[in-house]
Amino acid sequence: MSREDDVKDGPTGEPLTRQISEILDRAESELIRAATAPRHPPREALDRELREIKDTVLRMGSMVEEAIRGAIDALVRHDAAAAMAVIVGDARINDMQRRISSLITTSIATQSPVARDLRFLLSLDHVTYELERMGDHAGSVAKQARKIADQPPLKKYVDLPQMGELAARQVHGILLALVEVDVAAARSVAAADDEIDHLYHRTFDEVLDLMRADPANVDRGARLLFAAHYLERIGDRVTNIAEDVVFLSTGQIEDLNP
Amino acid sequence: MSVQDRPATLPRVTLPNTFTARPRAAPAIAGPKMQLSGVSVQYGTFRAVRDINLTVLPQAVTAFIGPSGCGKSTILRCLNRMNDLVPGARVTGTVTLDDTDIYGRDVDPVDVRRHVGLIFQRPNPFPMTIYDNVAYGPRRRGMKGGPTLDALVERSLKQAALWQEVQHDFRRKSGLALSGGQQQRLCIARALATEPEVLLMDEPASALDPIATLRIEELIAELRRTYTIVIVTHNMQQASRVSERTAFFTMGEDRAGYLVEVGETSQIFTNPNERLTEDYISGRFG
Amino acid sequence: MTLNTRITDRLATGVLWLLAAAVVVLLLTIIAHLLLAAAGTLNLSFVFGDPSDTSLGGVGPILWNSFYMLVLTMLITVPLGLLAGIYMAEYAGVGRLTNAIRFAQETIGAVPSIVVGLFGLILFVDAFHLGFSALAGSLALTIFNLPLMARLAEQAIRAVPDDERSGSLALGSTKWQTIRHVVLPLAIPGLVTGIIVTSGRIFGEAAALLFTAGLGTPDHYDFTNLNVLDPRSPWSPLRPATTLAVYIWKTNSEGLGQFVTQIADGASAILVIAVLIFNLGARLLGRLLTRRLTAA
Repeated sequence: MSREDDVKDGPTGEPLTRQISEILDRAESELIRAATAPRHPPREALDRELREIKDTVLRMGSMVEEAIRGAIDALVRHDAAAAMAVIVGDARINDMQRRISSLITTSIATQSPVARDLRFLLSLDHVTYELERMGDHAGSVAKQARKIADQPPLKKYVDLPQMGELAARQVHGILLALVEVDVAAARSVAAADDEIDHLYHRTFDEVLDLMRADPANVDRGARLLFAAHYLERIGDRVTNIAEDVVFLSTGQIEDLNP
Repeated sequence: MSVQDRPATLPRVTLPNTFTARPRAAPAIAGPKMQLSGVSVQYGTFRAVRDINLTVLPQAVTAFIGPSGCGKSTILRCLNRMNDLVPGARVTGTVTLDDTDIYGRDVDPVDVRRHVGLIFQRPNPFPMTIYDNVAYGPRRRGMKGGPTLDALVERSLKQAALWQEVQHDFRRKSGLALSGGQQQRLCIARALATEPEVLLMDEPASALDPIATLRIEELIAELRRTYTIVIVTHNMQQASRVSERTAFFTMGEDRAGYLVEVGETSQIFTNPNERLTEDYISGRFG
Repeated sequence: MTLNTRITDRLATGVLWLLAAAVVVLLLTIIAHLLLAAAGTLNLSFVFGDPSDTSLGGVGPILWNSFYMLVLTMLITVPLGLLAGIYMAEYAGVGRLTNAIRFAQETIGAVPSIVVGLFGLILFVDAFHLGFSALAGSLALTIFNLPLMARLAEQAIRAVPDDERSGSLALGSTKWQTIRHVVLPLAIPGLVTGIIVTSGRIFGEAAALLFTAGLGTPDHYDFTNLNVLDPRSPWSPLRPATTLAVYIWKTNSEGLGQFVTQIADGASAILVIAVLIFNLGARLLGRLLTRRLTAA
């Protein structure tokens, strides 16, 4: 950090570092936003239920993230045991989805939510469905990993781990956007899906070439293609969740994945 | 069918975004049935309601919702000049029925009330037979007893879904001997016998049990094919179940009621424009 | 509940019951005393027979006069009172005129009946040339019973719930139609009570009739004479009509005959019994009317 940076003076007259002044600026704007935010009057029972549902969805989201990372990791390291762990762990994700769905149904039936509250519950129900499918896809990637675990790697894995990491980060990002109901963030996360698609096409071409070159590569190559396909599907589902965020915020149903 | 047989582009399909189960008979007239423009109501020096601009569409149910004391009933009663009966009440602005100002100089309020009927919160059948109750309006208009009157009574009782239950003894049985829900339907039959165009309902089901309430709601759904209905209700779920359009009123700082938002019921309850409306219908008011 | 509050509660209940019982006992005592005192005298010939100078005689014509006066007065008072009541309940606003009317109502009703009788003497008997007649008596009675009738009618009409009125008006009927078809039928029980109360006052009235309806003792009434204008016909309002109350007073104050006490006792008993019968009958009639008019 150079002395030429623009520095302010602190309350005691000392020059502040840029980082500190940035932190202070951000804190100030947060306070202003909180103070001027339209007050949403509370409804105790419903708000409590909404919070519980939201927290459970976030927990489910991090479980899905872990599953994605775990599956890719097992694939890259040709680790059958690790792959098995991911496959077995999918059952917990499915349970969570059932539980959240049940909570949402109860909430709708007993609290008669309308407008924003209703849109929130409906969105979350859809999101958990998407998360559950994502968990299945991660499980499918792990199944492919298990199949090729006892063989040597076909190529140096570059794109696949990148796709996996991107997918996991996307899941994280979109859930944050959902919780904050941040439409801009949702749109940008959805846009990042292009990156995954690009990587997918590249992997596809590469593996196809390898399979054409030597029939012995076909077994491993096919499995890698499947794994890449499932990762690409995870990216698509993130886009669907982004559409839910838009619906929640504006009440309009938009297609973010034409 | 092979891939080649599929058309290059699929035909565009426009889907409705409201239920088709809420059909509306084509209205006999185009345009609004009733219109309020700049309507304010004062009781003495106290202004109860200010500057209401509202359109009531024909052959549809419009619901007035809002917190207690915001003037919904006052506005409702402007539509059939029942406010005239309150000493010291003054109504400014125009209220039109089919383009005629009902507060006009040469308009008789008694006549207005024959075209715009009112159902009250507490059922108030007269202490007479069911027949006499229903025949009351037509008789006061000069209709004599006979087959025409009989037919009118029967038709009104059928329209009010009461005929089945009383057809055996409606000439002898007193209106007061009916249950609460039946009494309210009797009041509706009575209002229908004057052959109005608009039916106003001031919380018609609030004094009834849930089963009776649902029957009244079903009745309203039937009636709106023929009549224009405006209903004031405290029960938001009822408003959303029963109406095509909803108007949300609230009380301002000056204790005068005003219109916050009016729109299609499906829109108001899924994505209202005003924050205030959203808070109220979500039960997060105040 | 502490012991204290329970005792107080029991005590209050007991005292109130006692007072109510006392009133009933008092009423029964008076009636019993009257009936016992008249026990020997009351028989058909006394009740319906003609008065006589020599023997005990009867009070037949007098009894007839009492009822005749009642009916005649009610014929005048009830319609007027009803109309006044309707006006005050439905049409009168709040203001100087209404206050003046109320004041007049209260004042006239408070005038002593003897004064009204004297007024009637001057106005009806002399100035209107009606002489001592049932008509003059009725008019005098009307003067100070009309305010009461009007007030009771007004109350009966006000007691009709506004819900009914609103219902009628909302159906597009006029104010008068509402009054005639909804309000009045519902006010019948209250109106009947008003009529009973007023009748009680009229039936027992003596002072106002002294100088207007006359003191003469009729000897015999020929009920076949239906000529209403003939002062000898008992159907005519132009003849003097001594009522029971007046007769009791007259017999006691003159006090000459040997049967004075019996006549007085007998007449009193008849008066009380008649009032009782009339009350009960009027109530039954009211109930019948209500049932017929409201189909309940």
